[in-house]
Amino acid sequence: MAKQDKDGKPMANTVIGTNITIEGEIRGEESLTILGTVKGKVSVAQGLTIEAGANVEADIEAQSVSVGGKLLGNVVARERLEVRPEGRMVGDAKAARIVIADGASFKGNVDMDV
Amino acid sequence: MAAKEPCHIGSSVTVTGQVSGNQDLVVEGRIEGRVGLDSRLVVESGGAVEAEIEATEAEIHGAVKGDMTVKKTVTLHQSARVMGNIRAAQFVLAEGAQFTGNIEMDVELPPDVVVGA
Amino acid sequence: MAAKQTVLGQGTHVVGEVRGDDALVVYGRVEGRIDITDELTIEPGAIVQADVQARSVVVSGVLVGAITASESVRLTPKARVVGSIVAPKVGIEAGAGYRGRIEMGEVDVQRSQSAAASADRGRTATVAAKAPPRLASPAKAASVSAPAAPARPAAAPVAPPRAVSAPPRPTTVAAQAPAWARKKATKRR
Repeated sequence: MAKQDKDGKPMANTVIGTNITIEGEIRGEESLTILGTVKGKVSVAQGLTIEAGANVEADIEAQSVSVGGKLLGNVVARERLEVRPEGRMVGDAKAARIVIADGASFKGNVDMDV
Repeated sequence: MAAKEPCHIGSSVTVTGQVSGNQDLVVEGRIEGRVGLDSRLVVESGGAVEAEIEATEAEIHGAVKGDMTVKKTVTLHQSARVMGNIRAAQFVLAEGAQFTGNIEMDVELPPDVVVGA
Repeated sequence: MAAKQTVLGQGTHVVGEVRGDDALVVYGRVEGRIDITDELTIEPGAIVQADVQARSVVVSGVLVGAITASESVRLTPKARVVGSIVAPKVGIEAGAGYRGRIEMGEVDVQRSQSAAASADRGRTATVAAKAPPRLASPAKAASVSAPAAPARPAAAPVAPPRAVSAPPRPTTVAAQAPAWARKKATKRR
């Protein structure tokens, strides 16, 4: 599953740590995990995970999105959006499959007509 | 390069004026003025050169004040203290060396990277 | 699950500003600005077009922009860097490509024995007597000896403590040289 670079080491996945803030646009061909703060726009070819404690104010485009932290922004997921029990999301969601877990908070429109 | 014995400027010698030649030059003393060599320049840790310098290679352990134009490599060793602008094909700066000035070197960048954007 | 390190992978491209208190490792691409209080590592293959500020910076990739480090900057043989470097300690390894201005604070070209000083106490004394203490020295020493100081005030742009304000000194090597030269002459073989 994990891609490898030419030295055979697993390719570094992108992780935005708890004490990091990115303001602007993040584009990626690999998966992205956010523990810190992101403001702007995120578009990744694979999965995006917003961990508990993370704070994201961005419009998001990804294959799948898992929200465990705070997300303010619209999501377009080509496959799946999940708002986990600890997740809080305000924004419109568009995805083929959507899961909003028991305990999660969600405010926005849902569009599953992909 | 120069197969001859290097020329030494001893620690008690101060040269004021222009030094030129194609023999390696080792400075333990002091030069003020201009150094134009078609060979290697070595400034030892007690040496001091305050001059405009041209050489094929430069190894600095001592003090230099002035601009350097060097065909190959400029190496500033740990004990070096240099102020001036340096133009060279390669520049090596040991951690601990003191340097303030501009470095001019051809740097190959990826085609899509624009300098001054 | 507190990640102390932030990694921007090969396929990741950030346009904007990255800031914070974690270490940052870049394999991908960043355009904009990087401002962190920990170590910044730019790996081979990475392209950073940004002014960067960090405690220490190690570059093995491509960086176009001004570098400011409160502790040190190191360019490894694969580095290709265009831009100024301001840091108390800078290392450039053979093979690295660099164009720009390096500022390590005021360089004391006058005190020409300082290198050999630690190995030769007697001479140090002579030199110390010759070279009066200067305003610049304490400032520079402070910036070198207290590198782990918790970064800068958030609002302050760039510039770690360095001897900017020190007035340029006239060259006095000429006046001093004979003294140490004579001194050293006795040691010649």
